[in-house]
Order: sequence, then C-alpha cells, then structure tokens
Amino acid sequence: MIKLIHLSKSFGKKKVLHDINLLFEKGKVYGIVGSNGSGKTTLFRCIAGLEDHDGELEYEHTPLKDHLGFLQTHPIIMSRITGWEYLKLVSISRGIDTENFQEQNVFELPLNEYADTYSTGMKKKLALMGTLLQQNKVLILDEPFNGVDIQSNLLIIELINQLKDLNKIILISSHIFSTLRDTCDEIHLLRSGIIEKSVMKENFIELDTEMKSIILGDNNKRIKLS
Amino acid sequence: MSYYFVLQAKRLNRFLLEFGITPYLAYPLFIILFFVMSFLIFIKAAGYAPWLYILTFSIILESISQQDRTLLLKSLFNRKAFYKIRLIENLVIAIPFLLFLLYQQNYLFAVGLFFIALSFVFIPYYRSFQLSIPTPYKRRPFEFTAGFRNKIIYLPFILLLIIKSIQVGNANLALFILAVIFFICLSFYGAVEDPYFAWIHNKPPEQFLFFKIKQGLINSTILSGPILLILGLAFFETWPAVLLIQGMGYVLIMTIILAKYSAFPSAMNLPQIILFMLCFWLPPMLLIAIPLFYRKAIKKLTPILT
Repeated sequence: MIKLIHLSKSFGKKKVLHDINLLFEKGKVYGIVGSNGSGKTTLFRCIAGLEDHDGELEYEHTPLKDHLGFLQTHPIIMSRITGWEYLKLVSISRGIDTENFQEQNVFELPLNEYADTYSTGMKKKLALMGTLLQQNKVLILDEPFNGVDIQSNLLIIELINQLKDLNKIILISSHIFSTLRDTCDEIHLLRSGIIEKSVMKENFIELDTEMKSIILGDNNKRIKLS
Repeated sequence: MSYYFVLQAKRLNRFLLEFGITPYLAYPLFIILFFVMSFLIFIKAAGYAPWLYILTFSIILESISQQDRTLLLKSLFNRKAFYKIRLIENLVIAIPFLLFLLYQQNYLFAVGLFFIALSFVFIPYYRSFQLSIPTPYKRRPFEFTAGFRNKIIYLPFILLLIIKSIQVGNANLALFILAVIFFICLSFYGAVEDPYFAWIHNKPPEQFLFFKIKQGLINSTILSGPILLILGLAFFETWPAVLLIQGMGYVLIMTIILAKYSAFPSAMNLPQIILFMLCFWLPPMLLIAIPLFYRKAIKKLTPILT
C-alpha cells in the first residue's frame, strides 16, 4: 500500500500540487485524469522520487523507487543504443541478469536496430517492455497508450490486467477514457494540482460525461471555422 | 541565412555565460589556448603532430555534423542554403588549423585539412539504413556502447598510427596511441545523462558509483587491450611507461565518472572542468580532486537514488 499524505509541490512560487492525500492498494489499478498541465506528470515524478516535495509518502519497502517502474510520457532513449541494449541496461540496473528479450518481445520490436530510430509508438513500447522486465511491485504508466497502435493498446490493456492479478499497484494516466474504463478500479480527477474527485468503477460513465462537458464546454465555438 | 549565424553566436554566448565565463574573455582566451596547445603539440610530438591535428579537426567536425542537427538544418533551409551553411561552418573551424599548418609550412597537410573540411559538408550524417554497429560492449551498456559507435570514424586513424609505429619502430608513438585511447574513453563521459538512467538503479549512491567505475575500468581495458598486446609484443622494453599510462588512464576514468556525477544532472561547470584538466598536468591534484568529486557526487546522487 502506498499512502500520500499532504503531498504538495511548488516550482518557485508556483504551486502545482496542493495537499494530495491518496491511498493506492495492492492488486488495484488507479487512473489519474486531468487536462494538460493539471499536474499528473509532476505527481508521478514526486511519487517516483524524481522531484522533491512537501508532505509524506509511505510505502512498506523503502525506498519506493527501488520497487517502482516508471514509464514516462516521452521515454528518453539514448542515441546509438539498440533496443536490445536498452532492455539490457534497464534490467541490469535492477540487478536482473536476463538476455532472453527476443522471447519476451511481445510488441515484436526490431531489437537489433538503434532505438532512437524507432517511431514514437515503438519507443513507448520499448520503454514499457523495459519497465515490465524490471519486475517491479509498483508501476507508474504515464500515458502508456499515447502514440501506440490499436493492436498494441489492446495488448497493453491485457498486460495491465495481468499485472493486477499479480497483486501489483498500478497508476495510469491517459487521455483516452475508454482505456481507463477497461483497466482502472478507481479514477482520480486532478485539476490545477488539486484532486477534485475520486470515482469508483461503477460511476465511470458519469465521470466520462462530466469530463466531456467540462473539457468541451463552449470552447469549440471560440474558433471561427469556415 | 544570416539570422541563423546570429542565432548560433547568441547560443554560444549564452552557453559560455551559463558555463560561468564572459564571452569577451572566452574568445581571446580560446585563441591564445589554441595556439599555445598547437605549439606544444608541434614541439612535443614533432613527427606525427600534423596527423594529430587532422584527427582533432575531424573530431570537431564530426561533433557538429550529428544527425539531429543535420536534419534540422535540412528541414529549415533549401538545398543550396544548407550546403552553404555547412561549408561556412566547416571553414570557420578550419581557419585556425589551416593558419597554423601554413605557419609550420606543412602545405600538404593544410591542403588535406581543407579537403576534409569540404568533404564533411557532403557526408550524409543521418542514418538511412537500420544496421547497428556491433561493439564489444553489448552486455555492458551504455557509455561505451554509444561512445564506441560515435567514435568509430577514428578507428582507421588509430589503426594507421599503430601500423606506422610498428613500421618505424617508434615505441613513443605506440605509447601515444594508448594515451589517445584513454582520451577517447574519457570523452564517452562527456554527454549529459538524463536523471532517469541513474534513477532506475536500485543501488545507494556509493554502490552506484562503484558500479559505474567498475564498468568504466572493464570497458576501457577491452578497448586498450589490443594496443597493450602490440606494445607487449613489439616494444616490450617500454613496460614501465605502459604501466604508467594504463594506470593513469584508469585513475582518470575513475575521476571523470566522479566529476560527471558531482555535477549531475547538469553538465560539469567551468571550475569542475578546470580542476579535472589540472589533474592532467599536475597528477598530485588527483589527491584533492577525487575526494572532492566523490563527496559532491554522493550529495548529488542521494536525492535521486534514495
């Protein structure tokens, strides 16, 4: 179980996360939704320990980062490194001495090619594969479906469900509501750094409708199309 | 197109300021340093100084001809403007090298350098094929894996110098190549690394640094191994000098790893670079630099790794 207690984050004078109190339990998938700039990635980076913050973060194993896999929105891939070598790097960094990446290549990536020549979706899949190979207890997946083809989206949903069965804690952010509906047990709505609402699975449809009306509003009428 | 060069000058000035040195001081200092270093090279390594010059010039040209930069230029400018920009840039860099070679009356090398400057304009630096260059570091990514591929262009130069050293029985040249190998290894640690690639390690800072140093020493041994073999077979009598260079190389690899993480996740700043450079000229400085870099590296890595 991960407990966030009064977690806040500021960049200079600008407060981007306000007093976040959340609980994440084993074997459950949590969605974090919100518009661009609402603080989702900052929240994930704080949990991962990539940003310092105020407030507390409790987890049974410390440090949490040693048990956490973090898929970033835009995975960073070094130049002149093949997909295979990237997977080797992320595996040995966690002390996992494996090399049977081709067997586990669920996304059928060209692992012998330079990973920086991959498309956006392929980079995402490679980074996700690396995160999964690390065998972490907690996973943060920031926009895992972004830029990925529809077949791989279905595969990712299936993998998330398998991870859930393995009693992992999974945190996901996505702008594609249907993917969250298919995977999450609970969704937290983040707006301007504040958790505005937490919704359980049975109320996801209402949240979807509400989000559409909030996000869309009359904004589409502001631009003069001709 | 002229605005492109104005922008480049602005970027360079900003970089120098961030580095902690005013451009008004940096440019004259750089010119003085360039000519002092050139004189030193031509005095200390008289026989093969022009080759070194060509190698250094090629390294600089290669660094500004990288794929991303080339693609950006191609997307911004038409074909004619693109080649014009690349040619102007290469010639601006070539001018001090050419002047010094002409001053040294090395006309043949000056012509060669000029043609290298021209040829680099037309080398397609973007990869249109998907083949990856095999390295001996597949199982130990990433600094040496990426570095080896980035610097593979210098392999023919190094091989040429090795053959030359055996041909003329010049042990000093072979020793010099060994030192060059270590310089190349040190350059692998020059790139700024995203904090994510330190963060993924489940090791406390002390163990992380030990792991990085261990990898650096093993990998540099793999690269320097063939030269060591040649030195052992062809110039066995030079073993004390070989040990000295190899040992110094190891210590400098260790120092640059510590120096890199002492500034992490930013790039090394000017005082850190000066301290590191001082260690080359005055090795006892290592006794100050190593503990200092180590303490700072632990401080910088602690929030990321714990």
